[in-house]
Amino acid sequence: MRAGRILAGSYAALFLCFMLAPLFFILVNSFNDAAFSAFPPRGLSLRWYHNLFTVTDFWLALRNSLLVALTAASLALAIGMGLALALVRGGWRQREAVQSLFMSPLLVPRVVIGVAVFIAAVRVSLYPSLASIVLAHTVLLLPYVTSILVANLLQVRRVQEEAAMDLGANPWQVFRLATVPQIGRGFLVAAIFAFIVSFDEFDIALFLSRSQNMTLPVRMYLYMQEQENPTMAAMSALLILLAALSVALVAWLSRGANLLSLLSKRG
Amino acid sequence: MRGRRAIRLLLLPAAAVLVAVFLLPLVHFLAQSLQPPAGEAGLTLRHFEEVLGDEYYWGLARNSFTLGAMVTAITLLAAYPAALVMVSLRGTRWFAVMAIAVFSPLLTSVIIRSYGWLYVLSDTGVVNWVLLATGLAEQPVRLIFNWTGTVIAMVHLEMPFMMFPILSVLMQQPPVLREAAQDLGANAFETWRRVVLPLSLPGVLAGCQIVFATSISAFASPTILGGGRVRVLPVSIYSSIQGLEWSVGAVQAVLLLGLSLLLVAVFTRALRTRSRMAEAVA
Repeated sequence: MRAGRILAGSYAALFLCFMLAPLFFILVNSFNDAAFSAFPPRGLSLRWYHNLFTVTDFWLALRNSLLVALTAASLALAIGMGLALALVRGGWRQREAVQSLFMSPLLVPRVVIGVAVFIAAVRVSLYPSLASIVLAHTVLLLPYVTSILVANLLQVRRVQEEAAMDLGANPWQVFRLATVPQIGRGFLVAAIFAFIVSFDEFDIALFLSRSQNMTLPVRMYLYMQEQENPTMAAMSALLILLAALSVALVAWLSRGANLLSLLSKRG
Repeated sequence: MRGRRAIRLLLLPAAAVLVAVFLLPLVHFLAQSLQPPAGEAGLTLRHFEEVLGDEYYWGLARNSFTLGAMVTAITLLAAYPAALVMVSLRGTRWFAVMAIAVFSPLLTSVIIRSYGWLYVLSDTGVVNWVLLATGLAEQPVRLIFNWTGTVIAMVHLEMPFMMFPILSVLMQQPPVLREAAQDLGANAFETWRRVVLPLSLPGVLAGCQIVFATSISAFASPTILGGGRVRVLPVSIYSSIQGLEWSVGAVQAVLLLGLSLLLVAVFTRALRTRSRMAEAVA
C-alpha cells in the first residue's frame, strides 16, 4: 500500500513538472540578462521588459487583439443568445439535431476555416482588415457560447417567467426581468471564455493578419522568427499574468462550479 | 403556439452569419479543387489526379495520421494515471493544484506555449543543461525542429482535452463498486482492470476523439517545433496558399477534412456501442 502511495505521488510530481514547465521557464527566461535565450540565465535583469516599450509593434498588435476579442465576443454573445433562446424555447421536436447543425464549425480544422475566410475576404475586398478577423472569430466562438447559454437556459425556472407574463410583462420585459437574472452568471462566464479563445487564437488570424492589422499571437510568432532575445519571454510573462488574473476572475464569478467543464469545451 | 414559432426567428442572425462567413466561404474554397485553369469552362478533376497521384501528398496524409495517433496514444497513457491520482485526491488541496496545472495552460496562446517548449528543449535549454550537468549526455540532444519536440509540445497542448472527459467519468463512479470488488477478494490491479477501467472507457473514447481530431488539424506546433521537418497536411495547406496554389491547397483541405470527419465518425460509433454496453451492464 505504501509503495503504491509513493509511486502515485512521484508520478503526480512528474506530471505537474511537465504541465508547468513551459510557462514556469518563460518566467525565468524573462529575467535573463543574456542577449539570447539560454539556460541557466546569465544574471538577472529587467532589460527585456524595458525593451518591450521599444518594440512598439507589440502594443499596436495588443490593441488589435483586444479590439478583435471584444467585438467578436460581443457579436457571438448577442447572436448566440438569440440562437440559444430559439433552440430552448422554440418547441423543437429534435432540439439536439437542430443544435448540432450550428455546432458544425467545430468539425472543420481551423486552418481550413482560415483559408476559406481569407479567400472570401479577398473576393469581397475585406482583406486585409480587422473586420475579417472579427467575423471569422465570431463563427469560431458561436458554438462554444451557444452551448454554454443553452445549458444555462435549460436550468431556468419557468415559473418566474410565467409569473412575469401573468403580471402583464411583454416578451422583452420577461426576458430582461425574469430570464436574464437567472442566467447572468453563465452569460458572464461565456463572455470571458469567448474573449480568451479569440484573444489567443492563432491559426485563423495568421491567414487574415497583415502589417497594421496583425493580432498579438501573429505578431509574437513573427517576432520569434526574427529575434532570439528574451523580449518574447517578457511579453509572454505579462500575458501569463493577465491570464492568471482572468482565471481568478472566472473562478470568483462561477464560484468553482462547472469551471472545469467550461475550460475544456473545445471539440 | 404562435409565440414558439416567433421565437424560432431568433436563430436567423446566427444562421445568416454561419452561411455568410462559414458555409459559403468553405464551399467556395473547397470548390477551387475542381476549378479549371483561367479561360476554361466547367469543372476538372485534374487537381485531384495531380495530388492523389503524387506519393508526396500521400506521405503528408500518412504523417498527419501518424502524428495524431502518436499524440493521442501518449496523451492517453500520461493522462489516465494522472486522472486516477486526481480522483484519489478529491476533497484535498492537491486536487485543486493538479486541476490548475492541467487546465491553466489553456489560458495562454499556442504561441506562448510553443515558445516555452523551445526554451525548455533547445540545445542550450533546460533539459539539455540537466543532461549535460548530470553526465547523462556528452553532447546536447536534439529535441527541437523534429518530431520529438513537436510531439512533446502537442501532448502538453492536448492534455486538458484528454483529462477532462476521463476525470468526469471517473468522478461519477460510485465508490461502492470498487469496495464490492475488493470485498470479493480482488486486489488493487484486478479492481482497476475489471471494474474501474471498463466503466471509464466512454471517457477514454471521448478524450481520444477530441485529441485525435484536433491534433491532425494542428498547425502551430508542427510549424514552430517541427522546424520544417514535420510535414503534415495543415502545414502544407498553408504553404500552398502562400504560394497562391489555391487549387492544390483546396484538394489537401478536402483530404484533411475527410480524414477528420472519418475519425470523428469512427469514434462516435465506438462511443455509442460502448455506452449501450454500459447501460446493459447497469
